[in-house]
Amino acid sequence: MDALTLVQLLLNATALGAAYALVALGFVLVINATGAVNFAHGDLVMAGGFLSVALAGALPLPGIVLLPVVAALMALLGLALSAAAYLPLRNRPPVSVFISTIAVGVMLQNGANAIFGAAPRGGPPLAGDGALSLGGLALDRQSAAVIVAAAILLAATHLLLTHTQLGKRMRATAQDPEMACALGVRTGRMVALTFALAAALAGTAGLLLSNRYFVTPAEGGSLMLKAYIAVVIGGWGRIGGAVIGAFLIALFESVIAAFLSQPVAEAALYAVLLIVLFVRPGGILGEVEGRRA
Amino acid sequence: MSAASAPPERILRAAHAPWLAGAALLALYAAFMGDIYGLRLLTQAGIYALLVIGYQFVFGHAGAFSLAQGAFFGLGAYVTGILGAKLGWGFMTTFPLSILLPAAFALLVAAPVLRLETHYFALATLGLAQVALIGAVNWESLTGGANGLVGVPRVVLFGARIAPGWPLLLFVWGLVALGGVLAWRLTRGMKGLAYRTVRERPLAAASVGLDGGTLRATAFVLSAAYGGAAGALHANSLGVVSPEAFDFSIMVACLTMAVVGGRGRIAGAILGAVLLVHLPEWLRGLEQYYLIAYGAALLLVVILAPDGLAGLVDRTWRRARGTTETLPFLPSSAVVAFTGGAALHVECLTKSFGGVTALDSVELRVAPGEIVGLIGPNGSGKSTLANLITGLYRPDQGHIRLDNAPFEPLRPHEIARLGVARTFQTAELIGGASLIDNVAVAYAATADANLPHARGRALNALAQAGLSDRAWEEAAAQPAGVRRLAEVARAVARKPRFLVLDEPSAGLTDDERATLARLLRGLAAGGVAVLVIDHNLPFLSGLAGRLVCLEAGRVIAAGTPDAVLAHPDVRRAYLGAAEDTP
Amino acid sequence: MSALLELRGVTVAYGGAPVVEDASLTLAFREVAALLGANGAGKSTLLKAVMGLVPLARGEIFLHGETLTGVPPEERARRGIAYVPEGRRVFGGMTVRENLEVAAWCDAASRRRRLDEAFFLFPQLAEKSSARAWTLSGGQQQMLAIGRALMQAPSLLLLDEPFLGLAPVLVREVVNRIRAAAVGGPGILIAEQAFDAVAALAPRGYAMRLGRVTAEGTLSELRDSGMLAESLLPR
Repeated sequence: MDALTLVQLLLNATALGAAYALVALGFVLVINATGAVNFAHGDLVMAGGFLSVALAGALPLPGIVLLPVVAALMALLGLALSAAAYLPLRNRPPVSVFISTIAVGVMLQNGANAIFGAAPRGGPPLAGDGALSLGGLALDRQSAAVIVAAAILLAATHLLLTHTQLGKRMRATAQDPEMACALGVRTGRMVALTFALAAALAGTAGLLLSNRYFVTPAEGGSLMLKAYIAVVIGGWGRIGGAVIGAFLIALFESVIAAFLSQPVAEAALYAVLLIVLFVRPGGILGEVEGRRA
Repeated sequence: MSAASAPPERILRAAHAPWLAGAALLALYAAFMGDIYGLRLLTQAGIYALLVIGYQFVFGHAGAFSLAQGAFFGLGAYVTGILGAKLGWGFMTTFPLSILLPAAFALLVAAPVLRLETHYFALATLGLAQVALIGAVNWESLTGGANGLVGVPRVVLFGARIAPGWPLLLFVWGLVALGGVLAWRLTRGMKGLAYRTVRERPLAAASVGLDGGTLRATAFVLSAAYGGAAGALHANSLGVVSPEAFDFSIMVACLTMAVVGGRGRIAGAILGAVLLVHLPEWLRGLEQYYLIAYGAALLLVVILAPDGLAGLVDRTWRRARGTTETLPFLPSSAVVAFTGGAALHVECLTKSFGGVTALDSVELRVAPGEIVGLIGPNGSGKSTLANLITGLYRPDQGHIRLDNAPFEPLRPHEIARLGVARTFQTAELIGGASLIDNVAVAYAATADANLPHARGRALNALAQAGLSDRAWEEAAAQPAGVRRLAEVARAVARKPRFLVLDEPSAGLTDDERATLARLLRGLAAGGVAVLVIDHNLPFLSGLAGRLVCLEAGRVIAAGTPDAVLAHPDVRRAYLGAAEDTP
Repeated sequence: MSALLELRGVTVAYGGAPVVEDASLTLAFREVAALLGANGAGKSTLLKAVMGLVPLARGEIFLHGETLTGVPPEERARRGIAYVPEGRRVFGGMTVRENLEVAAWCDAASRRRRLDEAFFLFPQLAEKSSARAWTLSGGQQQMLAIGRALMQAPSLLLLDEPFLGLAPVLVREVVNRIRAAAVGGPGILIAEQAFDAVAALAPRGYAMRLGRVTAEGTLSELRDSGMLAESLLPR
């Protein structure tokens, strides 16, 4: 393997990791806000992918222009998801939300199947195809664009959560809803907005993945699993940890698959996951916050 | 004493009436719809019912959110597939092995997996399932890879071939009935109560000597055995086995059936399986949109029937009959007699949390027949001491023993079995269960645990706490004082040698407090050593022979109530001022 | 002119048993009053009822003469009630600064001004402004919870055992801070079981015992009447 191939491999791994990071970020935000796992999260990524396919078919525009449209429409879908599958169950045990989101996932998956069929579909490239010449290296333009777009979205989400009053209130609601409420925060609205943000992130990830990896109605489950693993590796409830976990998964998948084979990479991923759980039950990066008596 | 009102057996029969009717309806449906496809569907529903009945052990009873049930199904299918198709073994050999191997695998991984908390447990079991799936797809020489194995033998029982159609349907549903009855026997009465306590109130479970870890592991292994049996039948009935047997959609279907049918309910497992296997067929008229309607129907059931359809049927049936269940009056056994206690020794006990010392070299001794009151301001370490004594925390230094039995390596339920009983600062009762069952669980860890017998003794303990007329009422509906007293009754029912109570008088009325004092004096007179943590000083000083005052983790005074309450350090700790002395 | 806060016959019940029964009290504008009683007397529940975190079984609560019946907690907070709960309940995963900012319902300029005021009141918080709240000591967390409440610029401040677990030096410091805040600041209702902690702070108070308000008066009256001794320490 020469240096150029290696660089290209790492670039692809980073692009994949960047898209996974957006998925995991939305997933962990909902976990923090509701205490429940959103099983339909992977299907939201899939929905975003098909939305991009449909939009690109109707409007011949590059993906980068379609991205805000996809994000806005997916945010609406997120609001609908919280209204249908979370709000009626907010006082029930988390496993109820697990099932209700499974139900929504089934509806999304089969809705996509009915409209687009089961065959893989390719989404629009972000900013044109071809290679990008950089210091003698010919780099894939799509991968570079995915990395830049995802980095901007991650940074924007980070800024929203840490530097706006709205973001702080969303985090306060996630940590202690009763106390947030006593400080004047309308917590129901914050949870709905969290679902909207999560769906928007998932949808844009779907757009970013749809060009290189295609999109099929049944892929939601495995994407949800990867987000789940990213959150466990990164430490339950840790936003930064989930993003790091997502990159580790992508690196693992790309590099191990390149040197060995795809099934070995996948089996190794789960083996690593099990070892992590048995050796460090709190995740690699530990729990969300420390304890102090 | 003699029994009044309805005996328990009759209530049982009345409550089961809608289920017997449902079973008859199902049989009628099978008899009249009769085409081959319909029979195959109903057979498949039976296989799923077996899978879900098994899942109810771990998910419904142990309360562990396992995502490995689909993997046990796949494992069972492949054991039958490999042994049958490759080695040509018959059903009589492959079926038992398809049950045993998944169960053995579950036993192997139970220890590391069950140690994990909810979400991690779910993901770890899911990880195991994914590894199994990848193995099935890629270990081609053994599993036939993505194509799977064809030529799995049909069911042959003592030389008689069970043909697809009616014979197979009856055979599968016969196994469902067998499995259902076995599961019912394993989870009814006292065993069900033990599981419920472990699931809903793990602290209380340990305090009455229940070993939650072993119970959960048992449930996990049982669920694997049922899953394996279902998988084997799946392989036998199709004649092929492929990686689809490991597909996550089977796990999702199983979970959905359990929740839609009713978590923890055997009838719910069957109802969920029959309904969800048939629902897509009923919705076929919607053509490619039928699975969307399936999702919507599932969502509606989850939102509208929180206890699943089985719970809905029970509620509707009870309402239709117009009465709540008539509850049996139980003869109570002779008055609980306490025969001796043991001395508790706490020596040089030190405990800190993250660098902050909660207890510092605490010495304490409670003699048999003695009541000692433990007082101190908030955060002085009183509850920490109770949690150390009962094994919920490990001491950093120091020793605790009961007579000459050291507590050091023991876990909470083992300490409880030495004869240590306790109550908690906020009563650890199962909200949805009656007071009598909450007290009866005190006998769940004893060798001859039998619910009617335990209830009789529990009623006796409740009577001593002045609660006999509320025995059958739901714990969650009781005022705080009653809940506290019921917890005291549960502790007393265990006939402890040493009893520690954490703020038992908070929220009690004057009458209830007098009852409590009488009860504790009775225990002490019988030789039990009693340690009472409380803030109500008049109550304590009238009750305890000795008071011990903690402040910031240290004993600042000990002695007779008068001496301790007059101690300047104690007055400072409580009132904060020397000038305040009256 | 009506009082800042008025409770009329407030009863709160958990599972049928009253925890607070028929409690009535008033607090004037900018008044500091103590709510004294032993553990389990119902003080915390009473404060939660004012905040709207537990439902009333009977009775009514008025703020500025307007009823709070049917007003949810977040709306009460926006009408000027701030609450410092027992156990502090700071947002552990957020920084000190974020904990403070999240409670400010105003424009960015006022938010900065209030933040400066909070940091002036509690210099220790200024030093730790970018530390995660869970890394603070118990006393610092208490300061943060009080600072967070003051960020709301409340007209009524509810403090639930603010001195719990604080070293004596810190107690004095917190008392002074609250006093400083009370000048031209909010009316304050402090629930406390240690008489001394509030003696120098609240001129007037109420004694609670077993869910009922048993006495009202100046703190010296309460102390001399014997009601207080009975509420806290008998004999």
